[in-house]
Amino acid sequence: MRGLLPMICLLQLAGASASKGQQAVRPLDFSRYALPNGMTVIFNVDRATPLVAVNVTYHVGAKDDPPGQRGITHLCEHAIALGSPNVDQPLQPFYRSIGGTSARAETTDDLTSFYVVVPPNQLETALWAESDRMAAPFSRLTPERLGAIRGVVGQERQQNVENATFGVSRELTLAALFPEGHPYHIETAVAGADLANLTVAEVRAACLPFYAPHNAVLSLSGDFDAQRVRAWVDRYFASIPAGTAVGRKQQVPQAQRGERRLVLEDRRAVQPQLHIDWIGAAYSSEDRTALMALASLLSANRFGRLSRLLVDDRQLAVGVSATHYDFESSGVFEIAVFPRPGASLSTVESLVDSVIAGLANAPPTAEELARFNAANAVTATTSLQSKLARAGTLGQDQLFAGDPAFYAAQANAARQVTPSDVQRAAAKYLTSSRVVMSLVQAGQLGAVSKPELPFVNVTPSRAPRP
Amino acid sequence: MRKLSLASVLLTGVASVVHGQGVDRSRRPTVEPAPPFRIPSVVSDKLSNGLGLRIVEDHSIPVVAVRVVVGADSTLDPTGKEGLFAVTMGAMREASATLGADALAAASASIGTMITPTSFTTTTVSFGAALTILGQMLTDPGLDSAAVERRKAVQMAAARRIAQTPSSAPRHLFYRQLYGADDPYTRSLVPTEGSVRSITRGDVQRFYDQFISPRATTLVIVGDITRSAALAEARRVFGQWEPKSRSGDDGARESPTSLAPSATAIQLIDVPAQQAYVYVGVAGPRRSAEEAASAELLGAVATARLQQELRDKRPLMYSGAIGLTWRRPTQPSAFVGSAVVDPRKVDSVLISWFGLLRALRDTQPPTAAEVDAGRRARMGGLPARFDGPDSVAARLVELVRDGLSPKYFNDWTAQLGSMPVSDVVAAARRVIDTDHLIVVVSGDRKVIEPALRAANLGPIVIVDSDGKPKS
Repeated sequence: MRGLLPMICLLQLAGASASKGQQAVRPLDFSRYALPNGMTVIFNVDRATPLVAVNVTYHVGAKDDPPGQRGITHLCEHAIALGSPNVDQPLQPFYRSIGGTSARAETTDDLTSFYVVVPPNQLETALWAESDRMAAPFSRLTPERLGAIRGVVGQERQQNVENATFGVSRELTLAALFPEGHPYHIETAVAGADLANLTVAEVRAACLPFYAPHNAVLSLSGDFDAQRVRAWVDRYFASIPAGTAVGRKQQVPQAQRGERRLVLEDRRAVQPQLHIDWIGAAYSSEDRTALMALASLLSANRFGRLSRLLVDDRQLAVGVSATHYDFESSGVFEIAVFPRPGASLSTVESLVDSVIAGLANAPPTAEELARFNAANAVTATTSLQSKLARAGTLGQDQLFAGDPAFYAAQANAARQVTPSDVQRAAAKYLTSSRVVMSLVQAGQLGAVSKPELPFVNVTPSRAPRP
Repeated sequence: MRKLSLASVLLTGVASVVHGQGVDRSRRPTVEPAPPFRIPSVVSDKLSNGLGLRIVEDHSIPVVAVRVVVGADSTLDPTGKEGLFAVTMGAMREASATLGADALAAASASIGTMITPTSFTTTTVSFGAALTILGQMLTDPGLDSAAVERRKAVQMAAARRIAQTPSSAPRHLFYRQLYGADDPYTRSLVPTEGSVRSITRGDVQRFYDQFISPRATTLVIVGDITRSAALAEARRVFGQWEPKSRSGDDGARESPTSLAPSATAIQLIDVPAQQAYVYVGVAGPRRSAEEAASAELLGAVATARLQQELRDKRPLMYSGAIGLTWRRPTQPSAFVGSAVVDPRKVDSVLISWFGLLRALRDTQPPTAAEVDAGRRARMGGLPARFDGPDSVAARLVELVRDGLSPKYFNDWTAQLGSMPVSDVVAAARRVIDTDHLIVVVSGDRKVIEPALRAANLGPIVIVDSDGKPKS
């Protein structure tokens, strides 16, 4: 009897909260303005905790690497973090010395960010330092330091990519999905030959146009007085020249490339995986939320169509994930299956295909969409607890969508996604033009999915890339 | 704003150059005194069944974070059954005694919240429903065979992932050298497929009955909820919870680890790898010890020197740090550093590392400037550790789990703020023992070994990934 009452309450609560979970996401309060030199400034004031997150994001990422200079944008991030005319320390020790935390510089496919969390009394110092960096981005770069940061960039890649089991799979997937010349046919960090002979002048020439106010957003979140800080921002940033026009790669039409079957071996692996990837939708695309709903429909715990089939019913896998990764102007939809020992990747792939094919005749149910919307709304709110996350999101959304609170608008728009939207997205994106990668232990080519079909072994040092 | 035309951007930019020439960045801004940081006010309470409560109100965002500290962790796994705590906690989330797996999962999914027996973070409107679900998992779990087998499969997969993670073998070997192979902490680091496979439903039920009890449990609620509402909800969900057994009422006790330091030696794990992992360390003070704070500042100084030496001066590593890894307050910590480096440079890295430690201890002790910088970094970073309900809840869990005083962070701040340089210098002499360093390197032996032997830094023992000596 003890469990009966809670059970009834629980079911009532669950039913009642299905609609609650779809309440509109309230965007963060923010103000925004532009300096005459084009730099966008965003303030989110929250005085609950005495700290301020400072984020300067430049609209340049690995996708902007010029041909033959792969990795240069990442190298430039390290060059700029060396210091500036009046800050004679690299970014991290400088911010540590003033009580800053989480000081990082980061280059993604689309953006380069410098960020830190400081006590409110050090906010003016942080703005001073960032403006000094922006006013003279490569002032500390010498041939000797270029050599040193080239080594550190190489170490970073070794540590984060090559040293992880199957760590190169993402790069290899992007290289196979996007054709040569496409902005996302890239590698975020490259230790290779492209960077080996670069001079300081070449680094400056390639990167300088991007590190200027007209290509930057300054976002602040935390405990500060907006009026007072606006005066500081004007004082330190307004005199920096706007910069010159930047050249960007043109999007290459995403031609259908057919199915590309890849094999990646790793000596350290003890467990194979199967990845299936398709080109997805851009961050601000209307299709993005439908693809996110599709990912939920396929892999939500216990209820995802793939999880239920592969993990629970057939017990072939210990886990399944379906994820839509979005870039600024494209995306990747990936299904990853982590099979149980001895399970056949070929069987797993056939079952994945059967579920995808079945979407045409079995549209998402109201429950499936409700679960997606509930999780989407909760995530949109709970992921912005820290000032650092808020500053980063507001800046990114400004650069990607021209609206700092675009994340909230999208979460709310997702409530309008219909079953036919999801079916249409599946038909549009989950086509036969895809990359199927078997990730296996070294030498275990018998474990490859559907080995009778032609595949390219992309294991580094084993075969040329596709 | 990006929609401004380029022409207008350029024109206004030129104008602003002329207008704004006056700024002089050579003058660093003056800094006002730091505002005092006050640790959020914590309400402590207890239900009549002994369940502890810690409540913090934070209405800055409509989010509530809940964490549960139970009186057990993986250090209580019996020998040969490593993974039992994880399987038990996993099985508890599968189904309750009254709600099947699908019904429980449906309830969680309907509020869009990932719920485990010990945690969730959700929006304010879903707090009550989420707490009800957590309560079902924690106080009335089904623990049937299907749930146990499902979680065993998940844990065996986790064990395989650990086995293929390059950092796990050197890390495990370091702690094995420090605390001993049979120490519960050492064993808890590496559950194996075999140890998980041997776990039975009976093991899980016994573990639950013995250790999961209201008197040994503390519920942490942080976020957009009033104290009275949180208390009422806790009473509604947990007020009737009675323990299945009384043996775990006060939580588990861990026997003190005894240390037997041996002379400095290098364990080289011969594994195929592109990079080498390096662990260097010794035993550190207990967290409850008076010298714990000075050793923390020593770690900050050591990390700054390590990064300067191996990253800023010479590109030998991308990231690396030295610091204290705490265990429960009665157990010795580890003063340990780790880095991922080029295998061809392991000898250079260790020569620099040993030199850095010797200098800190003997020839170039921590300076006032270094200690001040370390103090600013540690104290300045404290507010960020309380930024948002998840972070605040994590700090409260730390306090409860480690049996620290509710005033711990206030005391810690005061202690760091007034700590003289001489205390950190003394900590360097006390903690750093270059004659008894534990050094573990993993990577490709044929690349690493020749230069390492030539460097003559100490005896080298070649071992496999299980730590067994190889010829």
